[in-house]
Amino acid sequence: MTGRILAFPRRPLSVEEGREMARRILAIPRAQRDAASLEAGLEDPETLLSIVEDLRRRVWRDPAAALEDAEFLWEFLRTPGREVGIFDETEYFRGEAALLASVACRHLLRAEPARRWHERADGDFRLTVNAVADATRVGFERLAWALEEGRLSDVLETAPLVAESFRRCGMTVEVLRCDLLAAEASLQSGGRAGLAAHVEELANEASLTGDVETIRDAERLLARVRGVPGAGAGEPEGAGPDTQLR
Amino acid sequence: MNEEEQAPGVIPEVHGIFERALPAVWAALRDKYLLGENEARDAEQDLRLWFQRLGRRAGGSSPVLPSDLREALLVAACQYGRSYQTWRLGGQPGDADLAALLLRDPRDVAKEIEEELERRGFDPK
Repeated sequence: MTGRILAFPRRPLSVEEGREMARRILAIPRAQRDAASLEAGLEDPETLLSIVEDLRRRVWRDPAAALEDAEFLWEFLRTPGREVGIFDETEYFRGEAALLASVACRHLLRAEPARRWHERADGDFRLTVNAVADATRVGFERLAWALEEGRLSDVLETAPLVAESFRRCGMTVEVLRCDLLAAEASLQSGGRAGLAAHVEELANEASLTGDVETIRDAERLLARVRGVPGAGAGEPEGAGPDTQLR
Repeated sequence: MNEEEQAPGVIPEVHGIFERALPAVWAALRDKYLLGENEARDAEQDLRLWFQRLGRRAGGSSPVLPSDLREALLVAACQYGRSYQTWRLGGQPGDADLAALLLRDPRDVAKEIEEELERRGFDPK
């Protein structure tokens, strides 16, 4: 948390007002957004939270558009003197925009921009009240990139550390996603001994979380480990290779 | 369930943590940073909104443990009180105790409040 002096802003939007404002802002063509979005209340944290939630839902379905929106958000928030919400919210939202941009870059297989976004996310997340959990989410993104680049030994070495950090933060779904990523690396490196049983256990754990994407990723991985042909079929268009985790 | 709990975007667990931490938050705002009652009510409202948003970060996958949430809230309350008084008094508080408090790190003040409440047998956790 920063030690800066707080601003005492105007009446904040309600959750519903924030969602509506986010819809209106995202509907404005990118080239016309700058001045208009300021007037439309992009500085309100409810609006920003809704935009972040929206980006998180669609970053893997349409990464190019999500990247454009995340970049816009980050540029808006890095304007000198711009402060949104209270306490750590400027840093949190800027870090989140950078992290989402890095996820989009991964789905678009753009390695160098992704690395720059990781650094930016790290810088801002260090200043949030939730710094450890936020930084660990950036760590997970780096792991996912290592898998994309075939650095399997790096993934196998680092994934347990990232998972442990998530565990200590009480982030059970993210722990599972880390374990799945490590299992994927094991599969790709040919280490199948006992892997099917391990992935089956992960799939069972995933089914208890209620997290649709994690359950689907776990089931797909289990099918591949068991050698079922066509297990990766049915990806949405533009979603990238079927080894990609969301 | 009251109106606050039914509002969209309000996570019941986060709401509960906030309600249990309120005595500590008020101790910070009123007893330590000497906010007036109306000022403290406004501060409580700002803190409540921020805290609910904090609980909804990262897709609502509970990225913060309850004990961490409580600690973050109390530090935020102290930071709020410090910032408000610094802004209001323009850096020249007449009260010597308040002047000394404004020089301290809000995290230390928050810890002190928790210890004081514990000594008095107050266990909100």
